[in-house]
Amino acid sequence: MKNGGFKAGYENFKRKPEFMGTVLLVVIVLLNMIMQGSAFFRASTFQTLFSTNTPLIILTMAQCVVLMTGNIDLSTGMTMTMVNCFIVMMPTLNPGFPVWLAYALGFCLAVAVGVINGFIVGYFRIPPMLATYGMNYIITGASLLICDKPQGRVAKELWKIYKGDIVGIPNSVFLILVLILIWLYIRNRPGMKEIYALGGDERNTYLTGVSTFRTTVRAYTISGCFVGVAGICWTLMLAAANPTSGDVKTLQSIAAALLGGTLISGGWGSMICGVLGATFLGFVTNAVTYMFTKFIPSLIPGFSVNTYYQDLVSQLIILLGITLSVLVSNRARTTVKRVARLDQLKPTGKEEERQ
Amino acid sequence: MKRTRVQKLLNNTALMALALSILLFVIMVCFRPTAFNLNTIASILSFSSMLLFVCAGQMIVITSGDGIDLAAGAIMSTTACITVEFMRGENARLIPALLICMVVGFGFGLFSGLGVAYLRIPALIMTMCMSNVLGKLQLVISNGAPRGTVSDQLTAALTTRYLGFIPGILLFAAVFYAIVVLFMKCTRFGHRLHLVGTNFEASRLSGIRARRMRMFAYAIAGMLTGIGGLIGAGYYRQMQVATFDNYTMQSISAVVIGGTLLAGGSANYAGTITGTLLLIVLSQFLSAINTSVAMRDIIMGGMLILLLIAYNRKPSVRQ
Repeated sequence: MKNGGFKAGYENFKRKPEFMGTVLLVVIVLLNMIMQGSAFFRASTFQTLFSTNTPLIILTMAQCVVLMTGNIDLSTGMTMTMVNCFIVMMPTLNPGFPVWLAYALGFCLAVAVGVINGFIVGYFRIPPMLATYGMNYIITGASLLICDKPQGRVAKELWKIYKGDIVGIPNSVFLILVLILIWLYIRNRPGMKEIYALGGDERNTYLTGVSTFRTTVRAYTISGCFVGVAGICWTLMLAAANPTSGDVKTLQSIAAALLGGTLISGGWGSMICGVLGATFLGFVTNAVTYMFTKFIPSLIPGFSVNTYYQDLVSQLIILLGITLSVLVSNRARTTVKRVARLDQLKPTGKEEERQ
Repeated sequence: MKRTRVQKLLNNTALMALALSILLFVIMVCFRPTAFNLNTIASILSFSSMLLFVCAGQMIVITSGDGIDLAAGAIMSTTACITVEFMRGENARLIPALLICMVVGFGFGLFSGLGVAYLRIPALIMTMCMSNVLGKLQLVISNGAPRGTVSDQLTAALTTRYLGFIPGILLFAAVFYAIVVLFMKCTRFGHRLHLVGTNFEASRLSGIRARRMRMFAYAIAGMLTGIGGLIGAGYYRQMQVATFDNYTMQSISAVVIGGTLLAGGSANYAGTITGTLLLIVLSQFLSAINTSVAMRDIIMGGMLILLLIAYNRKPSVRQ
């Protein structure tokens, strides 16, 4: 692709997986800005928004890698919870246990779960959705074994770091930026190409000599690493151990990944899609809550509805967003495939004659 | 010769699921002899029957190819909420309530089907979003907690135990399931649905309106689940929001353990029944042996993975 001005750049960007996620995010940010005005730009708004949503954002990044291989992971939310329980309970139950070691081991635990998931899905070839659902049960049990009810606490110095900010930008945003940089680094490594290939066509990938088993395990392992980081963030956010808290996050992360433009059929998407989608999800809740509690009452005095309606409206917006995103991504993917095929055939000149 | 016969038996998933559930039941009795009574059997049969209503719909969706209905549990919960809100204990409203449940279920299913078949949104996502929307819709309809009950006659009909261990709900489920199997085996729709599930392109080229078939598969599944919602509400008499939400994954597991292929095109009718039974016996077994909730979850998950490894592996890429 030669770079020919703004229009060509836009055309190029339209074919990227991140396109729809960016559009949705821009729209929702604009909507927020119109409704809330300058209040939206207060540092505290962003602080709350990012410190509550960072675990989901990182979890979505983890989900994206697995979705790219055409698999799915329904155990991420509970893995995050297990890491949380482990990190908090380990020093509480064994006084003198170094805290940093608890964090390191908690991270390793998430990676181990990723490897096991990859092994079950890749080696035994059972449907990934049900395999990871079974794992979800096991991990739920394990978290309950570690701590049976919400308890424990995290040292104030630690969660202060997470909830702090540098020149008005929340620290969690820096963490996300670092993770995005890591993604940009590993994206072009040969291992990641295989992950995309596996999602595109399993059989062809196998025929080119790539081990599909090893690629599946690799994807789940990378995902496990990110889930580990999400678990640490989750711990710092809750500042306690809660064995049942993360269950809902799994489906939210899948929805967010799709909102960002990752396709569930595999071979299309990136971790940046995950970040965009999950941020969108956070902004939607924010916007809808504001709309129902402040914006509409200011237009129509005496307006008040049940909070259930807020939830229903946010879910409908998410459904609409996902529909749009999937349709656009599907189309972009077809275009890219066709262009690639034409590019391949050009030197022979035969294909053009036939058309 | 003998070995092949044994192998054939082992490969019959429906029979193996039945054998496994009997084995589990025997182990449960060994662990806890007091558990062996008519009450246990009756409750196992009741819960299996209730789950079977969802499984029938789930099976149809899975048979239609590349399909899965993650909204099944939510549809059942929603229709159950509607039932208690509408009936308010009056028996005269039974038939209208049934019709409402069927129409509402059909509508929800049709909506999912529309997204899956015509907008080509993957089934997993479309139904997952549907499930989220319905989860909130229940709260809106019932204002947080559904009031009212179903009529006493319906509850009585479902919970009466004939011969001490055959619950009324089992008879309803048997008739219901027989109709579903007849529908799938003896109507043109059923045959075509199998073809659509096996090979979408081929079925389309042979003149079947494959997209429409797929859409109606979801709609019919929604209708069946709607009936399940009424029956479930009738069994419990009162309802809470999201009571049946965990039926979604349970129904998928039961259908798949029973031998229906997730890829579509092949339904195992007997297997769905025995798979349902196995899942319920498993959970009863886990609550009968005295373990903590944590160990119960771990054993449940482990068993699920083992069963899948034994019976539902994809063919290798090499073949």
